[in-house]
Amino acid sequence: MPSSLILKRYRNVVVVLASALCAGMLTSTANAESTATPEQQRLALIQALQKRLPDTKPNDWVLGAENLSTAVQAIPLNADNATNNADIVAIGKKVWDRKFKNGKSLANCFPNAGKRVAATYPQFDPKTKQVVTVDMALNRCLALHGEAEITVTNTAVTGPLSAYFKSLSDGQRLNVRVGSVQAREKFDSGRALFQRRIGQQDYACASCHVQNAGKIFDRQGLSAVVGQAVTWPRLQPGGRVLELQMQFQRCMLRSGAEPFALGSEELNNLEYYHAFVSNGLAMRALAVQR
Amino acid sequence: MVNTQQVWRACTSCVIFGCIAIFTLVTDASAQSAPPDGRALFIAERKGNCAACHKTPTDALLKSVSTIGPPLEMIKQKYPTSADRARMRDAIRDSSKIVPVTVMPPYGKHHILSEAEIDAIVTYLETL
Repeated sequence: MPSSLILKRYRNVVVVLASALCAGMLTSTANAESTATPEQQRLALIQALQKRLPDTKPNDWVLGAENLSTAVQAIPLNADNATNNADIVAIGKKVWDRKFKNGKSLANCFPNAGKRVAATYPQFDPKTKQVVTVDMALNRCLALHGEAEITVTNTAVTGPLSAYFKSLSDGQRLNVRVGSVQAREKFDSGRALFQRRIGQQDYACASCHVQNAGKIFDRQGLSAVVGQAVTWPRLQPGGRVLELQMQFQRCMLRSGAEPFALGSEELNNLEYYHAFVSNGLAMRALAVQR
Repeated sequence: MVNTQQVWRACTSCVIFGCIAIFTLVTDASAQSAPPDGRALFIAERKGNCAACHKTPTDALLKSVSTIGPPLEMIKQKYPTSADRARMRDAIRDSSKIVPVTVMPPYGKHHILSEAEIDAIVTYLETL
């Protein structure tokens, strides 16, 4: 019997066996991940991405998909994407320098007046057993000094402010710690959401930013997850600053899912995992234009 | 007593409403009977949105540059049989049954496309 005929006859059997094998591999990968340390998971993720993006290193992934593929570079950058990063940072600095009623300012809440601090965020706070993002840390400072907090949806203020705070860590290597069992639970929860298929379109974050990193989806290059965290926030056309959790929401909407709220535990945990996998890469706030 | 002008007005109104009713019925009927436009569904962002992932080299107007899925061309030549067509339909309905790690949305399973719409897309694919 010719081999093509055998293949046709047993095609369904082969498909079922291959599916079972793949499902088994996925399950064992998930199990392996749950026992591996966060650092082991970070290294495994880098290895998986390097298989998809040969001859590149995590440092090459920081500037997003256009650094990974000539096909992405060929997509023209919109004229209105022209950046004015300096203006955004200056707006954030004004908020940072504003004196509180008690004469202090945001700089008083952080060691070294906030310099080289943002590279350690998000952090796990053992007192509240919560992941604390940059925006939360800034608000905690305001509350501590009797000032009105900035609502998470007031992105015209939170965007430039977090951009300025992060710019004080430019060049610092991201160093997010997962140092306790409770912190590990948050990390695991973030990883689970990163890998979970959601919404009508059934995409997971990993579908695009691991499985298809470097490829083009709907005229947009897909960046690798490793390297993303060090460049946020991001300047958008028209001067709007897009924060990372807003991008999480956009991706969830794109997948046809109801997004979690800005500042929700789900998105905070996702940000925690997302930042951890970029550990060791140098911070470059507002560096990516697309 | 009803004068001629009133009768004339009543007749005119009847004719206008009659025409509107007939037009509505005709357009409804044609909308129900016309098969869905596969190419339009292939492109539509809230339907197939297939060009977001696939290039269509033989549909010059689409100009997709996507690289997620394989390029779609010579479909009828590559997949000529009715069994091939059935497999294509299955792949669009729920491709995870064929490739578990697929990133293709399960169009049928998640009710993104109706059965008739999946058929229309397959018909369009066969023109590529």
